Amino acid sequence: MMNAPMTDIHTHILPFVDDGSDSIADSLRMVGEAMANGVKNIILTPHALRTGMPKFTKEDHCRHFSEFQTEARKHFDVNLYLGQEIAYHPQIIKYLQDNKLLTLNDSSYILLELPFFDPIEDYEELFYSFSVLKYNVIIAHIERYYYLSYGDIVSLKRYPVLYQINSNSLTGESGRYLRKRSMKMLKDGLVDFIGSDIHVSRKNDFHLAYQMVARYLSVADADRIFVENPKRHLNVA
Amino acid sequence: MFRNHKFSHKDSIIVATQPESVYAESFRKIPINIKYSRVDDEPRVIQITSSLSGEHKSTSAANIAAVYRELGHKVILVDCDLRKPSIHRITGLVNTDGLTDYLVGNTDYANLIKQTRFEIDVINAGNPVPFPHVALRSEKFKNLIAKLRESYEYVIVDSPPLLLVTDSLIIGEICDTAVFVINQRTTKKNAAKEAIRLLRESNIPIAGIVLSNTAKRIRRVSKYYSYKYKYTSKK
Repeated sequence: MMNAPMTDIHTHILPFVDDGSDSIADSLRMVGEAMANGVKNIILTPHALRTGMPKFTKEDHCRHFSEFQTEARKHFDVNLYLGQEIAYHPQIIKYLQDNKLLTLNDSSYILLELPFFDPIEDYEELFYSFSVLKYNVIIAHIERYYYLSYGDIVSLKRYPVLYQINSNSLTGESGRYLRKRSMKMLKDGLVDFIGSDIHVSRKNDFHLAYQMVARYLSVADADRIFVENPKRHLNVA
Repeated sequence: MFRNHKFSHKDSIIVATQPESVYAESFRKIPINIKYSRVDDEPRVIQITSSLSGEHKSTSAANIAAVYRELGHKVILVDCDLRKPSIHRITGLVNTDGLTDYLVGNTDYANLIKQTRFEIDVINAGNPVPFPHVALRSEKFKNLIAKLRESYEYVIVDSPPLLLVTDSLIIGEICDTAVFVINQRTTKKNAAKEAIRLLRESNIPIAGIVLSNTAKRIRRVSKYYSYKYKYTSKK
């Protein structure tokens, strides 16, 4: 086990606001599992702008977060932070301009989820708009968009974006294809963050993912991805 | 980590960013020539168009607007290229609350007009709509241009290429004159001729031609003509 506390930048632990958790008990169990995996800082990133999900405003998310944080502190010595996993939406720039969305821990970084089926037509325009509004973009689980070839993933990196992959893609929990793709990205230096994207039904394998990075790359690289990058970019402890 | 990516069209208002350059000087001649294309009734709503895309018409439109601003006039730049907008990038804006949003009623006049760091007011193209030519034929668009005509001394209208879509001819009906941009290195002679024929058939007066991206040998002849503006014909 490593010494420095790890940060999980992508979780659906916040109860009652998305498909992550429907009860405080489940959410507390998920926090406990994260801590058992060596995570000390957890950014709660409920879905925002996702089609088919109940619509919560950022004020709703803040209120739920505040309540849950109070509850969690009774049980764990953990640092909880708030963000959102913002799904791509044609009006996303307008929402950001109107300050209706949350960045990760009040930093300049947003966690962006691309569409799962219809590719965005104009990435250049999208990333241009983010840069004008001075938002930095972390693309959530970049390995999971099947319409993006590996070449596309490499090519998108020419824009000012950072990539997050899921720990269960790397560990093979989500299948061989995602494991292979994640490993290749890791070895090619394309991965900036690893998140658990934990939902109540998923197994937390964050520590195993850390061990894999340490084994296949180096301990220094694993520390960079799991500890230093979040600290450097997202103002976590 | 982050790569430095230069987004296209960024920093292309040369008149403002490199005011001493030869390019900027070439643009400064254009308003004079537009003025003398019709002395008694100076054109104030000026359409910028070209035959095909990639001929630097949006860059020309923005730089012409910048020259008017430099001369102390109140000017607005309107992006009517609803299919491939770029004025927002040239002026460092995001493409929200634009012309299409106004025409379909999603934004109002107060939110429509954006101030830029170049001191030029701008109307963005806005979100894509399925039939841009229908939006441009609307009474609301005509009324908007009429309102801008009252509020501004000059209205510079960036419009799409003539040979690809009919939008430019629709826009031309409510403008005072058109400036036609030719990319010296890429525009085919037949394309330019065909586009000018379309303008003439639609009775859209042409104030002149801007020759962009001129070849080095022309620039060697006279460094002051790297962007060359020539009077051609008028209605």
